[in-house]
Amino acid sequence: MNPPNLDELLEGIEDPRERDRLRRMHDLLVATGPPPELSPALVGAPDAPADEDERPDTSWMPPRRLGAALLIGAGLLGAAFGVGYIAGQDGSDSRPAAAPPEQPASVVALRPSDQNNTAGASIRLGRKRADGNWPMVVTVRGLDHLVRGDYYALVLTRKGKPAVTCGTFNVAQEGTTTFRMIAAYDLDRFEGWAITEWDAQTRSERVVMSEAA
Amino acid sequence: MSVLSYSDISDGELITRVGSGDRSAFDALYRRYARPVFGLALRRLGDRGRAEDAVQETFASVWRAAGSYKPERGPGAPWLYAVARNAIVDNGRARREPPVDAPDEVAGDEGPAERAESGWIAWRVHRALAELPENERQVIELAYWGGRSQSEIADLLGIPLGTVKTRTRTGLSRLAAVLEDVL
Repeated sequence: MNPPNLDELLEGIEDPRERDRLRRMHDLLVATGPPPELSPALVGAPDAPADEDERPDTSWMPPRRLGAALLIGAGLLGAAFGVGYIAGQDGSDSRPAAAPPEQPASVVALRPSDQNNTAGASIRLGRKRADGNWPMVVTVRGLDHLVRGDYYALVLTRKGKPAVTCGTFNVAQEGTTTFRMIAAYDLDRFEGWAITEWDAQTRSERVVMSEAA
Repeated sequence: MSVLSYSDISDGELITRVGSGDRSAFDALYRRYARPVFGLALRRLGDRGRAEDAVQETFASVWRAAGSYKPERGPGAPWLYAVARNAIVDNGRARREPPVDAPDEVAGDEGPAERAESGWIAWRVHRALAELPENERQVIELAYWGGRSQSEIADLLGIPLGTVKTRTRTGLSRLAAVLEDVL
């Protein structure tokens, strides 16, 4: 990411001390980098426990593990829609199949940013639930398995750029990977979907697939 | 009491109130520091999932330990930073499964002292950014991390180019004032 043109910013500031001060602040901002966007599990302020005398603990926070447990529970109940629909279409996925109780409300296809890449993904988006969550089943093929703290993220985009993260994932060494996710955002506020790859070593993110690509 | 009424309260006062069981103060503290804590955890752990866990552990620790905070020993931000750092270190230690590969921590070649220093400075920068007026914070984030030129920001926000420059400079100046000791 290119930092702003400091000379342009400092145009009109005559005082050399002020120019130096702003230049040092500029350098510090560039060196520090942006604060990360909070993931959905952390965005909401924690609810207070019902018991006035009770100290809060992590159980009332929006924990990742609780989310995972809820997802597993939802899967066991078959409340959303199953991976079977997708697995049934793609023999390379060995996950157990189950007939989807509900057809997806829409299907979004993602294409690789690199035209020479044969990767692809589909998002089968369910209907918005009463609790405000959008269930989805994501199938990804052709991406590399990531190591060393790198990960993929499914994101919603605005003005062609990643705006919020729905969740992170990795993929199998080869073939197709299918998983469930939930988006808690108002999808109408965003323009599209994309998959990004986070490089932990360079602390950089790049879009590897998107709707528009 | 509304959360909004806590916006002018210092970190130390908020922690003191949390120590006396004030959940609204805790809520305000969470809103104020969730992002800096997450940023610190992500820098140290290099993994979003583990960083999320560390954030939750940090605030659970804050709730439990806020009663031990002594305002006379120093402001609240360093105290909270120490709690966060401990939670992050514990999170790193607690991970039982061996890493698939040698973990490439984001701090690169920095030693512990440098990492502590850069972590603390980044913490303060992010905290200071969060405190900027919205219109200044917005142009700074777009300029530094949104990849937008000043002209593009003006178009995007529908404001004159001169206003974008003024807001950016004013924002930088405010940040420099808060962070004067580390510049």
